[in-house]
Amino acid sequence: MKNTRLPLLARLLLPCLAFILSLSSGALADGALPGYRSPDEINARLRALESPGLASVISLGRTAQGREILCLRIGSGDADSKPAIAVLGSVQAQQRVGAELVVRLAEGLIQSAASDRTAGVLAGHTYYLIPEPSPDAASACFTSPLTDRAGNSRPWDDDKDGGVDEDGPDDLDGDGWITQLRVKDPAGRLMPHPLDPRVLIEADASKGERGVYSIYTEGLDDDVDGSFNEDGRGGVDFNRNWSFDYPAYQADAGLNAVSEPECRALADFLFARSNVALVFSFSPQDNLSDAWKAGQSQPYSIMNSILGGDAPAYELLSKRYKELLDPKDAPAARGWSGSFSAWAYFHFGRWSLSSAGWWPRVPAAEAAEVAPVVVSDSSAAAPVAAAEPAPAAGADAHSEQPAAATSAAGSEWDKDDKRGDRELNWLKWMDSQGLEGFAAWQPYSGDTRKLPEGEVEVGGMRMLRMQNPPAAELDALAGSFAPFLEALPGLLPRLELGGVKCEALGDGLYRASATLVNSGQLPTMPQLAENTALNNPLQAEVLLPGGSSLLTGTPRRRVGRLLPGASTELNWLIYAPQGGSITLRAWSPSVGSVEASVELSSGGSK
Amino acid sequence: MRSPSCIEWLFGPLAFILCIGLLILCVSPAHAASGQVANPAARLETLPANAAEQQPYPQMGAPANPRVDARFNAYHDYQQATQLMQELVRAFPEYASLQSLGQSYGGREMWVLTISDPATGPAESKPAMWIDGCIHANEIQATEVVLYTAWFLLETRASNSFIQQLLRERTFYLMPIMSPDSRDSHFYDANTTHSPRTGMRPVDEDRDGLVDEDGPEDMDGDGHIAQIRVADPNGRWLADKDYPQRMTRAKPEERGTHTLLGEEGYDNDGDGLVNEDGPGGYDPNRNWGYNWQPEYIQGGAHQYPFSILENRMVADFMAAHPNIAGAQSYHNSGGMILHGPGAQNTPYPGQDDQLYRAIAEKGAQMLPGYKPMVIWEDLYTVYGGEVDFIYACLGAFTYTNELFTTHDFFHSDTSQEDWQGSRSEPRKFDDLLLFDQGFVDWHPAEHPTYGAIEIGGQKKGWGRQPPSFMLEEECHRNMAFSLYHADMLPLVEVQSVSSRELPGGLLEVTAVVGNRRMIPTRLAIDVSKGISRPDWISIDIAPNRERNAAVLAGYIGSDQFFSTASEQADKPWRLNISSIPGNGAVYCRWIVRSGKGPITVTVDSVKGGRASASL
Repeated sequence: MKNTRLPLLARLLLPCLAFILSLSSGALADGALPGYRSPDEINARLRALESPGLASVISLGRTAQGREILCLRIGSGDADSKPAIAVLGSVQAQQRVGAELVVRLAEGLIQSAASDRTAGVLAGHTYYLIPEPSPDAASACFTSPLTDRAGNSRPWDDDKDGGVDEDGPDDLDGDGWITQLRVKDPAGRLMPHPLDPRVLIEADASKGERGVYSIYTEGLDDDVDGSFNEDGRGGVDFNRNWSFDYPAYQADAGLNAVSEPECRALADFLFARSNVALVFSFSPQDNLSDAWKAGQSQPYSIMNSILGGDAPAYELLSKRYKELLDPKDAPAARGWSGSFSAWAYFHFGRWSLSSAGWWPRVPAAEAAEVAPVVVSDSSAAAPVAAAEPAPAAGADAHSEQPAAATSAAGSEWDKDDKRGDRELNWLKWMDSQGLEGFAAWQPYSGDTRKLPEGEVEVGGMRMLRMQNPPAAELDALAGSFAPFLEALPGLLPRLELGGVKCEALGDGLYRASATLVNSGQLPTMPQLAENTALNNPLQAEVLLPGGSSLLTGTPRRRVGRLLPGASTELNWLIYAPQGGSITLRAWSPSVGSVEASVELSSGGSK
Repeated sequence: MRSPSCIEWLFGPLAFILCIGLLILCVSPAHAASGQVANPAARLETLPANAAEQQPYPQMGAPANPRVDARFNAYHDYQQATQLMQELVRAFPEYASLQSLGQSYGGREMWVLTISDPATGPAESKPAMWIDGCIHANEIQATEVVLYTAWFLLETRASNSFIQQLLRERTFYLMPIMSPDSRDSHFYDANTTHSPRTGMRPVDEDRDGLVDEDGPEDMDGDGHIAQIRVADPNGRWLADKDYPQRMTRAKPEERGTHTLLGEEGYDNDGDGLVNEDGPGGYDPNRNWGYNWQPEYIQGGAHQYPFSILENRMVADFMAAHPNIAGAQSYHNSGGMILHGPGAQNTPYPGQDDQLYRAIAEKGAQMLPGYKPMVIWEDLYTVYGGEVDFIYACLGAFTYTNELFTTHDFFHSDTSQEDWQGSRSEPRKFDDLLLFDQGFVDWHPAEHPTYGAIEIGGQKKGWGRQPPSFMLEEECHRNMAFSLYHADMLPLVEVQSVSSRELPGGLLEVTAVVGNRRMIPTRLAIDVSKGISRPDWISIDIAPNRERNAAVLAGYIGSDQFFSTASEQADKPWRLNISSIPGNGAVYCRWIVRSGKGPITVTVDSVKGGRASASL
């Protein structure tokens, strides 16, 4: 083997470098996502936003590592008794954008609290803002080496070999990032994308292509068991630990659903607030760009789609969203197994909305005509958009590219072939922003027992950066979400009592009646929650004057779900020889309340 | 007829002997702890020769002369159960220890009693059997079976070689009361035989914003929540011809005499419903973390898996004790030996299912009238049940017994109209054997909504619980089943280590590692889902630091002839074994550079224990 001295040197130096980097992880974090705040800083900001009578901090509990999970409640008066919207930030911990957006949305609401518009919203509704529901996992995004893992700190024997967290990724090139290992491998199934060799795609044998690479997460086979990085530190993924369609036995899902302190804290918080009508979260389970559709699911059964009765509401909410936010290029929703947002609808019984928050938007012109990109492996930060088709891969370091892999030159690339599109778009956007989202492939050699066989290179996507915009974009992004979140209360159900009257039937006998109407744009609860323990049904009550009695019905009764515009008749037969007035009241914690009084003698509404 | 002086003559020396015995117990704790005092033979030596005839009759079953006096023809409340466990630990400090997993909602301790023989290693190093009772608090005899098991194991260990061996090989984790708040509620609040099944955490069952505001009331103050009936010429119920306390439905051609209005109680919140939101409001046995489904699919599920903290304490304890290889949960009633799956959507692997059926069949022989059953298939669907969690998430072999069977009434299997047997059988039994103890006679009362009514019907202590004289038998027979189950848990042994010199000086070491019992070291679900790590069979060549270099290769044979074999290239000195089959063995072979020291083979199984042997 040539250059044996270099890897030896590297082997000696890299641990030192890693040590130095670990000492200054704050600075490194700043280098990863400059301008982003750590969970502790997010919490500090929430506390600073407290404002008597408007914004107060509620602690949901603590994580395994002792971090506090905080909610900022924004509302006026008896805020906990008003219909509420819960807003969740970084449900997917490495998508830091969510936490930052929710803090900005809180700041926006507080700043505009005095305006007529916001004051009007807060007069009738309350916001529970929880920017950082999974702070342990989030803090790992600020710790060297940087990776986009979502797991919290729970020790977990992923590979069930009796060792715990014994073979995690390693920052072999000492750049502070966990990227990838690319290995030249005759049995490899990947080949460079002809349009951009940084992107590796599955070779398609039917097109005469042959794979040349295998890919591993950057790291050694620390426990020399033949598997690479199969049991890293932690952990359970907050967004895979919820009980709907729970992915049992998966390494990132925990021992059982809702096993993690942060999930329990949030579930306890929400179950204790029957006034929550809608849950909005930033997560990969986007159902606003493309609304959840009904399927074959039946009520009161194990479901795999939303119920038919709830589809119109999700359509409406998605429509409003798309009027205010452009869903172009939004990534397809990720599967909902064990996700928070699916739980919030299926197992919490509320309207659950989710947006990815941010994704790279490729300028229209570039997306339309894809041009091959040639990147020197040693200078990934300076991409060249070549007008001419160029050799697709291995422009310098690898002169011995198998012919098959390079046969599809950029100009011959079939536009309907979607392989690698997502990565191509990401890189295109990265390049347009001048961001270092890609670490150039560099040869690596080290302890051969712990490395895959063959020529090993370190490099690849810096995933954390791919999931979060530059901090400079956050204010504008929050500004684009604010109108949607502030419009939501206006769409929620609203109760009105119409035609309140009291007919005197003579000699102290009265017939009181009213029409209870839902004048909002959503049903009073999802069909899913109807007649379940998940959601409090509407209650109707009549308060009688002294010396009177009710001849029909009970003073208090349950009223079924009301669709938008729908109504129900309420009436009571009352014997009140001494007259007086009655009060009719209808309410539910997540819908609000309405009441009217009638004088028994006059029969008119007061 | 005996004269008083005769009794005095007998009593005097006996009292003297008892005093001496007590003195020995008190002044010599070391002697007491050694277990010799309880041994009848040992005590004999301290007795005058003429007192030998005073030895208790050597009865079968429970020890005649226990260190801790316990009655199993009576039910223990939480305090009495606590006291019994504390006394057992005081009497057998070497073999028993008591710990609390935390406090219940109502501030009661969640006791776990650990029983094992420390001479063979710490409790957590041995394959363990978990036994619990009374997750449904009204099912009160479940606690008694677990208490009896603790008492019997400790009191008979010295005199019974099977029990002695069992405690050498196994650890027992016993939790007699899973729902202590509700046990006390059943004992001391007015209830029915069916209540409270829930724990005591408040739940707004009717979702009206008021919590636990409309439970039943003991209108006549007799401690039972009985039934309300009103005389009604248009009613569709009438008194049973043979047992007039019992109401039966009128036949279509018959005229009725009464209308039944449900359980004693009022409409406290004026919503037209009576007793719709009482204390609690969930089922602790639908709240576990495997195949959990919400309330609208599985009644009683509560909010999320382990939202009920008492369950979470137990699950955390079990997860922290992976040596738990078997488990038993006691319930009532119906005479069933149940195993999972609780629901059709999570079938169990065939091998495990066969094993479940085989051991349950053995149980059916010990428990006349009990039937082996699969929960979802033969009873009803249960999502989020304890049994499924222990089996499917923790990989332990688990049953639930439904105590007390209709067979007990008249030792016949003829009547199977419903889970309580024939509708008239409990009444007939009450008539013939309980002398009308089981029912509250109908008596008049005033109801604020219904006016003049009558209250009467079944008492809370009759229906699901055996009467005193049947309790001890129930305890013993079920314990016997659990001890059989515990005995069948995996138990590893290194049967042989042999070697052969290869030409050229290398040594071939062969080990046969067996499992002496019926249940494999890892159940099929454990192997397929990766619940616990594989068993490890390792070779040690002294001195230890040379081992890794000395073991050149290791492989596992398909049979004792090594007809085919699979090599483990990674860490060959510690072979990963997916499971050692019940009453079977695995065959391991290593090629080593022969060292000077002894060669030792060790098997280390999470659920099957540890064993080693040297060449």
